Amino acid sequence: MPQPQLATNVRKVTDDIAVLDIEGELTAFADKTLTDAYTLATDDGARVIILNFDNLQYMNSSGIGLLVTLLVRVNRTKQRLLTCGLSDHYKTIFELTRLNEAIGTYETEADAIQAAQS
Amino acid sequence: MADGTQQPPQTSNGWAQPVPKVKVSHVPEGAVNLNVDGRQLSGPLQGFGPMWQKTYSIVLPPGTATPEEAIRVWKENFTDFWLPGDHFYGPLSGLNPGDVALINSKESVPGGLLKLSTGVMVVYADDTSFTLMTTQGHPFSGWVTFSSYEAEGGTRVQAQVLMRANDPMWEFGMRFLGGHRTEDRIWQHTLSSVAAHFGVAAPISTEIVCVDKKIQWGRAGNIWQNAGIRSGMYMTVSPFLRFRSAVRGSRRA
Amino acid sequence: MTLIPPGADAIVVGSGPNGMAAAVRLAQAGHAVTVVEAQSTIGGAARSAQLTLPGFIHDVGAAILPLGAASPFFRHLPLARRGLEWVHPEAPLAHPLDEGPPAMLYRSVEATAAGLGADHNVYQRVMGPFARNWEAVSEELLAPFRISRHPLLMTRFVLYGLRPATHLAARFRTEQGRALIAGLAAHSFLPLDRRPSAAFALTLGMLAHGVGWPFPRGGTQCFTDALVSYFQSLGGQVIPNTTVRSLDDLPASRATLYDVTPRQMLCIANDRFPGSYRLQLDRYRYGPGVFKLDYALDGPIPWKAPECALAGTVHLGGTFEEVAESERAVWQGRVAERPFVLLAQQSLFDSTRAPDGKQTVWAYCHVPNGYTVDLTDRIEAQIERFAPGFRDRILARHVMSPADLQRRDANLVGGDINGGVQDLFQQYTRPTLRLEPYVTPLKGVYLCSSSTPPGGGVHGMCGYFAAQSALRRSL
Repeated sequence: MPQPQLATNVRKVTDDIAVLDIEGELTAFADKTLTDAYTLATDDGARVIILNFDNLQYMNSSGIGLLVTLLVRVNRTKQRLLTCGLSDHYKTIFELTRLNEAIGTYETEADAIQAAQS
Repeated sequence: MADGTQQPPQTSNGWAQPVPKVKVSHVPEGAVNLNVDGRQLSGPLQGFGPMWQKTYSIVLPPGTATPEEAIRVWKENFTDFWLPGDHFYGPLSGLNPGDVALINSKESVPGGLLKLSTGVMVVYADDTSFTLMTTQGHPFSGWVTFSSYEAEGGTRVQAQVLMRANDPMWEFGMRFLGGHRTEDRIWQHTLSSVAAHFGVAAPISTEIVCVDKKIQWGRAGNIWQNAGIRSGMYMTVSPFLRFRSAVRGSRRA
Repeated sequence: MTLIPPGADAIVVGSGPNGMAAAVRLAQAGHAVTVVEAQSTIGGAARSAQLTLPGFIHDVGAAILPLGAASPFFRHLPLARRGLEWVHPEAPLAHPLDEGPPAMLYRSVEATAAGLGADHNVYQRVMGPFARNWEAVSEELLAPFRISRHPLLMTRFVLYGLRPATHLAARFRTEQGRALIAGLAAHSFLPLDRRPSAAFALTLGMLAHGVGWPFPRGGTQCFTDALVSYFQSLGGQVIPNTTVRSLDDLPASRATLYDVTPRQMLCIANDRFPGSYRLQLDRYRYGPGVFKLDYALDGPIPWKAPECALAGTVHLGGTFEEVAESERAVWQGRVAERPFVLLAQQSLFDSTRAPDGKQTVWAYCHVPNGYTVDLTDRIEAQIERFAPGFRDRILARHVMSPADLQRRDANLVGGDINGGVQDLFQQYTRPTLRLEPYVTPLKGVYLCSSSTPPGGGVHGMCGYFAAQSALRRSL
């Protein structure tokens, strides 16, 4: 069983907003890492989760699937999911898979935080 | 390009380019090209019914095949591994990002009364996985990822579906006309075929999760692209069209 | 008591394997599920802890999990992706004797039969068909009473298994063959001349050949952690340190599933159950308990028979007659001078459980329910009998009497690890005689513990079927 190549860091930027820094490879093996980070952020009271993809090195179709299931969980608990730091390559992937229709994408973390607070 | 004569443009890292509408550039002999040309791709977020994640997998014993070999064989023989009686018209050059494949299926429709014509596009492919995404009107809206990796001492080969029934009619079929069981049968058969290719009869593990039980009522309008309805209309009308074409042809002669 | 947030579709009380199985099944069906657990750690009888010295990981309850590996529910879950790794010793089981070589249970039917000498053919004939069809047999056995989907196979199983172990052992001529059957049958916690003790021998033997007798790398807690992690990935919530004493302690939900035995259920429901149901729960029979020891050793157990070092589990009971006497004594309210001891030496095959060069040992014997006598000396004497010098290697030991076990896990009433006697009558009428045993007379209230079919073991099927009932009726 391949080891996950994903590292995450959870930062609380306001009482309601948490940023999950995603570093490495978002594939099927990153499931637990991503889920644990989301659980940590939610247990700490975050109502908005911002995925920071500045240091994302690779994402395959299983990784996109993880984002879809994460979105469903976020919606179920009436939270919001936003992203920032996506390169043009990954924006293209969001467009191809039509994920961009459901998850707000922003250039920078500051933009995403501003959108979350508005 | 359903026969692989022309490579579509790709992004790097195995992904296809986004396309506003799917284009079928060549229709193989015997294939029916309906409900694919001019359609958008449709993912699990664009469907109507509850969202399901279904994972079918087998573990090939050690020494049978590496993950790369398993996926290479799967891509090369994808058409042959399909359910008997159904047809997957894939590109001749294997399954590459951006390729579009036509599916003419009797098995997908409960009762087998209707030959469904639909299609999928390869949105991702690398050495150990590939993903097919459905077009609008397909029975389900979503994608299937075929992958392989080393696990439990052997090689795990897996098909994972993330989908919603496309519209109210398909949702009715999934719930009450055995649609879910048909889905299981298709992918379990495919996996068995992969295993049989390597001379192995491995038990198939099936994990089914309802990721989101909510119905997306706002997507009920997907029924306007329902591939079953359009295929049915085609089946009704096509004999007359063929007759008319034959008559016109003989008059010219 | 921690506040339980409202809003869940279903609440599961108890985080043992059955509670978690029920919770996972409901979450898989798309429902919002909360699990509440009285203890600070999750897992019920499937937990690990440093019971003796720092760096030594001991399994507090269940240690060897063939039923977990074979479970028709658990084995389809993606637990490997959640950190679960099964460790398979070369031999599932060794059963040493005072004279001659030990009886060995290998993964291969042929290798096992070859080691039984004159019983070679008998073993093949008895065990072979079940080992080849272990999946089908497991699915039938680990289900509530229903019409069989494999009638021919199960008729054969019933013909052999519905008997006492004494009948099954009578087919074997060698001491090794008979001792092997005795040790396997003793897992029933029944006297070996009582039905259906033979069924347990067949089941455990069959599983050894089908899936092995594996254990999780890092301890049984890793199995629970993988299950909890998967549950959380489905949106589930687990709340520890929360004891439920009354139905009213829980917020409203469409279904509540209790991973508790009848005794606790009666307290929780107070007088809300109708009289007839209350009476049946009150009459529910608990079985023998266990007296358990965990050791930190300065090196591997010095077995007289070197083959014992190949096995993850070792049965220490001598001949068939000795094991039978030991099990009979328990039902007579006493413990034999040389009790049948079940021992596991996981650290021989899993170096994460002990510091370099050191070992852990897990051992227990059967005792009458609620037994209060300290059996440390008797158990150690049994181990010493087959491994002279064992005591010299003990760095530390941790003792758990039946009362200690119950304190750690309220479901282990009097030390009963099976949730109730598993004889012919109570196996399929647990906890009451009902078409759907998981359903209680109270709307939306279900039982999902091992006090429901198919009974004891880390298989999760009680929880799975309880969840299926709840999905049909309440969700």
